[in-house]
Amino acid sequence: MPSCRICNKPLIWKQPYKKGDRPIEKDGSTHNCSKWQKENADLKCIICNGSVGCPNCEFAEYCNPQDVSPLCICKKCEELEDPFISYRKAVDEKFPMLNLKI
Amino acid sequence: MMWSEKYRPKNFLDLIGNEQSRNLFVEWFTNWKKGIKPILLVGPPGIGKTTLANLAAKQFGYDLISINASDVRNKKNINEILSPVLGNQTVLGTPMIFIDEVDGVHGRSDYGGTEAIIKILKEPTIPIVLAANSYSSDKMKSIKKVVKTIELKPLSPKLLRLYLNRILQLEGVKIDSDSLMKLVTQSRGDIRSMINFTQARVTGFDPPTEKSFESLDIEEGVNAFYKANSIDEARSVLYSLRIDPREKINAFYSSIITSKISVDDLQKFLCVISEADMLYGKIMKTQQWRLLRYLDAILLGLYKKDTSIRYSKYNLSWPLLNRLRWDGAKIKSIVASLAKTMHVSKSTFSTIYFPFLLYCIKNKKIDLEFDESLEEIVQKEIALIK
Repeated sequence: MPSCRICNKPLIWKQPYKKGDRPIEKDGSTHNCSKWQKENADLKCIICNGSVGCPNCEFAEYCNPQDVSPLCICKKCEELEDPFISYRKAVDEKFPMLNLKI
Repeated sequence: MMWSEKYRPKNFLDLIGNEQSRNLFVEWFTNWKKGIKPILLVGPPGIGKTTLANLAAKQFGYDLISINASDVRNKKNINEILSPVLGNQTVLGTPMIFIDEVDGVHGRSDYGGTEAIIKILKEPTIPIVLAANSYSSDKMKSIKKVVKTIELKPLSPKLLRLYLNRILQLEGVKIDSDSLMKLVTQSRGDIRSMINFTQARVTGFDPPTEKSFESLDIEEGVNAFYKANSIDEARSVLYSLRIDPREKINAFYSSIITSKISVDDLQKFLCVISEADMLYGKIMKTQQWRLLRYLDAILLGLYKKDTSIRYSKYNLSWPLLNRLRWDGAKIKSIVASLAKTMHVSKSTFSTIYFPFLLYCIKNKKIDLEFDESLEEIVQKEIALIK
């Protein structure tokens, strides 16, 4: 029996089964994993590694955390003296390969 | 200078967002050797796919051979373009191939191109980078099997604002927070369009606050363009006119030819219109829609301060319109039948042969029999010969 890889909830196969189908809920609806949604509801701040606080963000109406580039910047880090320089420094530290010198 | 060009990233660290994807891309280039799967960059427009490929070529010292989806529609084209590159590397230095908008060729327009690309992708002898906006089509599914895919996502509005604030800081200009918010949210993650709109906003053109950029209609647009006090303001108006390019060219054309301006200005403006028309023709013929970004730069040549040109649509005199519509159709039918007899194209016949034919008829060197209605037109045309 199939199950969700994240929350382990038992699921069933759609009948008749076609190649490429995904498991569904017992009532026939699509499984929207609440655990996955909870885990992905908030982006991570690239500078301080903390949570960005997406639900309270001023752009919440225009931004879906699951559809955008996964690292963002939190309100506290945005108020630093020069947030862009801090952002670049953080990227340089976390992804040294990007500071390529050939 | 366009800000999107001025602030174009110079290295991988200058880019913003998609940090992990960028890292994967650089890692792939660093470890590249013959036989390693090519890379497919998937993401919405304006996110930096082409920039990534250009930077990779520059930073890793490759000679970039950039081709577009329209060049890879058929097998013959692909072999003609890519075989010399894949087969003889010494002549071409250290090449790398970048195929942009690989998802852009649909269904019937693909004459075996996809299969030919897949064959090359299976045995890569040089680095190959592909770019696509999405990978949902069947064709992309088969390409996806033979490449390593790196997904680039739109930037969050906060990151966009961070980047925009940086540019505004470097330019020494300030925008109120409401306008900044509007610019960021309207761009929907597209960095290029956000920068272009911001430049348009700060260089003098103040868009109507209740209307979005898209809703500025053609009449308002053309009039605002010619009323602009500076070329920067005129540029801003052009960028805010987001309508069909053909309609844009036509609107300027009809406004210019119906305005009372000097012959020199008319000649200059018609040359600009002709250049814009040729670009649009090339886009339609080759389907290289990325060339559309140059249209506004060409049309900017139509700007002249304090000119009397105002929007006007097909304000031609009735006798002229009538002649264009009815006589034009009859001349076309004469040209079509005679071009066939002479074994030349209709366009060659009408521009080169037809005036001579009229002379010959006028000088009674040739006697052709036409229908009564066509005879009338031929006589009209002969009367116009000076």
